[in-house]
Amino acid sequence: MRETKQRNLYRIIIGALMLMSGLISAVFEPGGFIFSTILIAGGSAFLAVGILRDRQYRDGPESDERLKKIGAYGLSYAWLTGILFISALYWLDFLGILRMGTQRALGLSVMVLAISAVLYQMYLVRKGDVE
Amino acid sequence: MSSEFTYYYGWNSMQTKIKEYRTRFSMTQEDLAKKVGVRRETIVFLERGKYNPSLRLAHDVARTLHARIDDLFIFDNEPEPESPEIREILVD
Repeated sequence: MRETKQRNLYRIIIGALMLMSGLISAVFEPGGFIFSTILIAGGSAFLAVGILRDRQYRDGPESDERLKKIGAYGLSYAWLTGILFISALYWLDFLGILRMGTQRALGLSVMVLAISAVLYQMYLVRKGDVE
Repeated sequence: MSSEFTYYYGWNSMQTKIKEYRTRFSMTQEDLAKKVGVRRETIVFLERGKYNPSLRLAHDVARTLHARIDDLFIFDNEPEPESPEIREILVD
């Protein structure tokens, strides 16, 4: 439990530092717009996650063996889905049915992998177990 | 045990008596979860027989409830335990 709280504390500290750096960078270096935006967005995300998780899991563990198992299985199923998706893209391209550039194909594959992992994990969390 | 706690694991279904033992000690799901170091939802799924725990967690739950693992977790269609004579032969 102490470990979880410490982890959230680190998230909050890192988030606050990134946010402050981003704001300072935006004020004193107006040319570095992208850099300060990344710092502000990343810092806000760290800060929000740290505060929310600390409030949500104050008295208990953030994760346990069931959630770790579900997380691992969710990623495995997503990997399998990704392989099928990429294979489908390959064959569609090979047969000339669908042509898309490398950038679009990679972007779509990343999205399929990320979204399917989250969906599988949500489904398994509701189901209770992976079997 | 009512069939609502039945869950099919392949050819087997699992029932648990965790709730029965927990209420004997006037423990809430939250109390048990804290004692064994898991989230309350995990205890909920365990009690419904919907989560197949690790040996470590089963051991911790059994120890907390002063019971044996096979008192808490019951699998349907489980083969009858061998007679003491056969067990003795197997151990030898």
